[in-house]
Amino acid sequence: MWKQRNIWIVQGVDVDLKHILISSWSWASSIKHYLVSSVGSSRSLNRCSNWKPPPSGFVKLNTDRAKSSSLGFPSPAIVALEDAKWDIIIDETDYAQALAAISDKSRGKSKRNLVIKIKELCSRKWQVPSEANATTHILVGAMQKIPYDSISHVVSYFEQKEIKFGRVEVPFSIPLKRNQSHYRQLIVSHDAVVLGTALNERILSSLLSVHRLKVLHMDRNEYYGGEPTSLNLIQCNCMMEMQESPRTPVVMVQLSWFFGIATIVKLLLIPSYHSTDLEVHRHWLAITHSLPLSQWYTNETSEWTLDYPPFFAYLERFLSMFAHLIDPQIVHLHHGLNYKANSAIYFQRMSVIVSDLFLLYGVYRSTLALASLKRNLIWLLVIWSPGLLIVDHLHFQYNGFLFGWLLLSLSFLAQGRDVMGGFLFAVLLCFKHLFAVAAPVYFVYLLRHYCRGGLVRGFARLSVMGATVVAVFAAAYGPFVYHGQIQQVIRRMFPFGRGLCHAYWAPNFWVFYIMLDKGIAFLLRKFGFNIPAPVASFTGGLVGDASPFAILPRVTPLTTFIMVLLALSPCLFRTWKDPRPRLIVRSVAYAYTCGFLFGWHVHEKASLHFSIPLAIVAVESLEDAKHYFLLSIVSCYSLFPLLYEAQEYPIKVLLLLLHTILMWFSFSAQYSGSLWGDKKGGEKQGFEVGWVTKSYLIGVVVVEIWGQFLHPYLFGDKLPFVPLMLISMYCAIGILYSWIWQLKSILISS
Amino acid sequence: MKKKGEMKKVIKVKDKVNDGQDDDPWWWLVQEGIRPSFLCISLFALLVRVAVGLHPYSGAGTPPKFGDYEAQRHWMEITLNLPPKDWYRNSSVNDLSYWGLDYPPLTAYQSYVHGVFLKTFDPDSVALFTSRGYESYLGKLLMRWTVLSSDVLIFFPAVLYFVLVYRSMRFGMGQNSDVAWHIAMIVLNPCLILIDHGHFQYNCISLGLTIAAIAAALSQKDLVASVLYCLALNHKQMSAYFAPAFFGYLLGKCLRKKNPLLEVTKLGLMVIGTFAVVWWPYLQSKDAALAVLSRLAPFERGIYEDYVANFWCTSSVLVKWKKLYSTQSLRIFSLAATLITCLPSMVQQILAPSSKGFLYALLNSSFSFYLFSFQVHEKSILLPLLPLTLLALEESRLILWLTHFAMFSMFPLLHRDKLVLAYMALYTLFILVYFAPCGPGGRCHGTKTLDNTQKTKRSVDFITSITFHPLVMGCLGLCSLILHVIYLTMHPPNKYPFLFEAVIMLICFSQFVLFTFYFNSKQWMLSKHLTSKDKQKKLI
Repeated sequence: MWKQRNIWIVQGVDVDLKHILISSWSWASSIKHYLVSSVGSSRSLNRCSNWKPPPSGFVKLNTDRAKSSSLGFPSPAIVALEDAKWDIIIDETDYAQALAAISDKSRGKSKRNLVIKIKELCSRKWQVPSEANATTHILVGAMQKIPYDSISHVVSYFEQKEIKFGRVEVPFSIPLKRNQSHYRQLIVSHDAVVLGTALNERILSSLLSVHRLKVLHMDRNEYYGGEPTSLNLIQCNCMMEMQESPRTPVVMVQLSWFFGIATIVKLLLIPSYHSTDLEVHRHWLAITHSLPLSQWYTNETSEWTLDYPPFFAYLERFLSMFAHLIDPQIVHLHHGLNYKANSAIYFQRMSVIVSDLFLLYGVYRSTLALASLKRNLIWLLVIWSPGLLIVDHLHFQYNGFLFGWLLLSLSFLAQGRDVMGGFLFAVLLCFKHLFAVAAPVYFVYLLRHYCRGGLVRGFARLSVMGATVVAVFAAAYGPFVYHGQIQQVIRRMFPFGRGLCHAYWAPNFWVFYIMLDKGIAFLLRKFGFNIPAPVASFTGGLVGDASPFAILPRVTPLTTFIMVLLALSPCLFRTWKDPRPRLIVRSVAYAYTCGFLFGWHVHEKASLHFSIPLAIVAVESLEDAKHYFLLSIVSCYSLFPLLYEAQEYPIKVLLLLLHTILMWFSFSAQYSGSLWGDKKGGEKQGFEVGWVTKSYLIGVVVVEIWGQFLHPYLFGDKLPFVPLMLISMYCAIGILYSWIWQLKSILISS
Repeated sequence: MKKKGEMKKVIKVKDKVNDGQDDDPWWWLVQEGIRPSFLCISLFALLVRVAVGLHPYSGAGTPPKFGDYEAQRHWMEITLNLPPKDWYRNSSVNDLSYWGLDYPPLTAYQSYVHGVFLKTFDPDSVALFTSRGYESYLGKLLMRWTVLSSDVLIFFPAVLYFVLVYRSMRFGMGQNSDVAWHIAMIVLNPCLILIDHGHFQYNCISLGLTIAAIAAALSQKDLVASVLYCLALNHKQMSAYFAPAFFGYLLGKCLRKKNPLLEVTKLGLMVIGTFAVVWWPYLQSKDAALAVLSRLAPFERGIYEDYVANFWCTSSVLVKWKKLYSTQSLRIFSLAATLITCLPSMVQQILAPSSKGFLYALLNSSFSFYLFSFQVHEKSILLPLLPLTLLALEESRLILWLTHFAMFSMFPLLHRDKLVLAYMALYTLFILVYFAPCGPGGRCHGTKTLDNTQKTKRSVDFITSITFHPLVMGCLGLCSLILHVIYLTMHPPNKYPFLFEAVIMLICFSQFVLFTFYFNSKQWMLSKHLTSKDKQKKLI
């Protein structure tokens, strides 16, 4: 057997795994005298005095009792020989079945995973708390003898026997951290609190409750039983995820590696097409550099007036100092207009690339506490997000930087550090006011989660939070208030003069509305009604009082505002009732979805506002993964019309393709096999998309082929708007589905 | 296949007792086997290629001669509008002094196919005469896409074929993540991407055919290998750099078979057949064939051009070869030098053909050609680099250094092409991929070495420890980094306008010579090791 093993390991010859296992088994039976006792100990408590620690050099891991009908096969017990590192010997009464499960060909992935997981289990330092067994023995023996008078008797009994056990606490003596105060109420209503659910604590608590004491039995772990617990493999997996301490340097190095690869692509994309946004931002550099603060929001040298909140203007001011060093013409108010020299383009592109470091930190912080696979997945989804790359590094904007702030804020909230989270969100709002759609959710959440605990305390907290937010806003808007320009600033920031839709219709609810209007008008005209064609366009400003709609009632900014609030209300209600840190990311993403679907003059780029935060929660469950798979493809595809030139065509297609494939493989790896997904009710597990999703995604390909090849071929230059309209209609269906899905998940998550 | 993947994974975890699979951010991808990782890596490589294609090409906007881009476009124009017989002939419509076709017929056919493609979308770009120096947005795009399509159709499949063969050859040694790393090393080779998609050439075709030929040879399909190699040779005569190795390996194998003469005849017939098919239009008359041949060997251009880090160019600092000797005698010199230097590795392969030895022989013969043959370009360093990337798992340390110096030696050229940004980005990308978390690159610079042939290792260790000592290499790396900066920021003194180029050339040449010695010795050690093993077997 050893020979076989050596051939296998050292020379890599393809030896049958089954053969090794069988020979291992025969070898294991020959040393069974070591193992018999361990099997025996878990059988019955009466024989626990037979229990022996494993001989040195062995790690004993016994998960015999973890057999469950839902799991479908028994979990094997494993003995690993430490000096040979990795000889698995499977030795258990259910051995034959375990072996069958492992060598079952039809379940290729799960089998492989099983072997991996077993090895992983063995690689950990398992302590076998032998005292636990001894304690049990004594406790069981002492069952009848203890006079159950009071807690103190029990405690003293344990002290006599010198048995270590968890802790028995009298209520009120438990020191609680400040943010745990909501447990206090729970604790006060009990007579005794038993911390820990190891065997002795379990017996203790049952003894106490037999004695008519009201016992609160708690454990810091999510599973029951403390150290001598019996876990099945799924629970083991969960536990390991929890125990896994984030090794910061390794994590940071790996994350930087991912970020580095993304940065390379960004660098290579510098000479690619860029939109007028490059000139917009260049002009802002010039405005902030060459004018005093009081003229920033009044200057009209170019049509690209400054219309972002003040912090962004400060950022531009900061960048303009470097720009001035590199090429003074970049920041020249008049000579710099439409300045297209390499220095300007390189400088601005580089500034976006460097500012993405905020995104790096935001992602790092929000994935710190996660298991490695989930962490990697989120990095893939966010750092290599094709949408961000298209908008920031091809089209040109500073979204990565802003999403860094958003993710930072969300990660603080998820940790329960509400003031910090609120502060960061306020800062974000002062960078880009479009993020304000989630402000109601933030408000309700902070009000209910942070400002609670009685009137006085709540008020104190409210004022702390209020002061923080006010301070941020004062820092941003203060100078303009001082100059008496606040109205001008706000007028610039909210140009409601623009139309309902952006030049290219963002895939949202209004697309359907407009199409319905057109359809009805068309039909009525067919029937002979005289319908005048509307004068105004959807995209342009409001021309006088003319409505851009032929039949349907006209949509005003107020209507859209009310629609957004209405759509938000279930989420707000949910948050009001149950403000949970775990759900905050979903709620915020949902708010952005509502804003996107029903908002006024929405850009297609705004779909990133929810597809990026949702990436953080996409790894939580299979359903999330399936939803995110669809959503991120749709949201990226809806950005395609941004890059309309032939040169960038392969880039955007490759980006989306790569993203889809990576997503596919990573999700299937995470939810592979029936073993590691949570299996309930014998459903089919594993990552796969249903036929509806599949046909929808095939539809995306069809729409793209139509728009790119068939339409120009069949119609030539006629009806040039049809492909774009099709894209936005088609994507709107996907986004609408995502909205409904998110709404459902928020309502269900009670 | 799938089974093997599982075993691989098991072994992988075995190796990583200490850090566990958690540290590998790619295990979810590599655990699926080779194909998914190949798909992802090649898609990413394609993305990088497209992105590099955004950058300028050689000779963009520099009349009257332009650069390689114009040459390729001109060939499309010629092949599309003239009958094959006139392609290589100077005539009133085909001015050979303006980028005349000087590559073998397969390149001409490829130009024809691409010319047809260009004609359908942008007829102006390949119109006879009028299209000279034609540059347009669409034209550039279409040209770039022809290179991309050649990559997708030839290079990537060839790499997949090679990786699959190579893995089975190693008996499943190494982990799946190593294989993925290996794929990335081959398809993300910065030099090839920069030359093909930045500078503009079609090296991916001939190199892809060569890789496929190597893979076929390694999987014992000698006839297929010889056909593929002949195709590569017929696409670019530079592929002859590999000829001694192919010759040695295939001959050596034939001699070991039952009926050596028959085997050799079969191979010979295959080679002649392939050549006959490719050269068919020129075989009608002796003159036509000779005319093509004379176009392929442009001896009149002198023994060296520019500043190439090979022997002739470097030694010309001391000995003015061009002044001292006629072209005729220099031709003989260089031929003799090349043959002498590549003879050892060829002889070794004839005596003891082995798969690993074959790869080393490819490396050695291409290095000797690069260093000593007539008329070598900077770009020719791609050819020695190719076998080394194929050997990346064996020589995981040296691939870093050779790529570094190969890139460095091409830096002046790429700087002329205004590809400095792409150069820097791709160089960093290479370093990042090389040091990918849990890839062999990061590991071999740590404590462990990947090589399992400890015996070989030990015997060469002495040479390695001196020449490739981390300190020495670190110094050189730093020097070249500083030189990069100097080259970009400072002007050379008026007296020596090519001072920096010369320094770069000297450094690279010294390294290439070291590499040649090292790999030659390694190849011979390999055979010694093998024979001693054989002896041991016989004793048992």
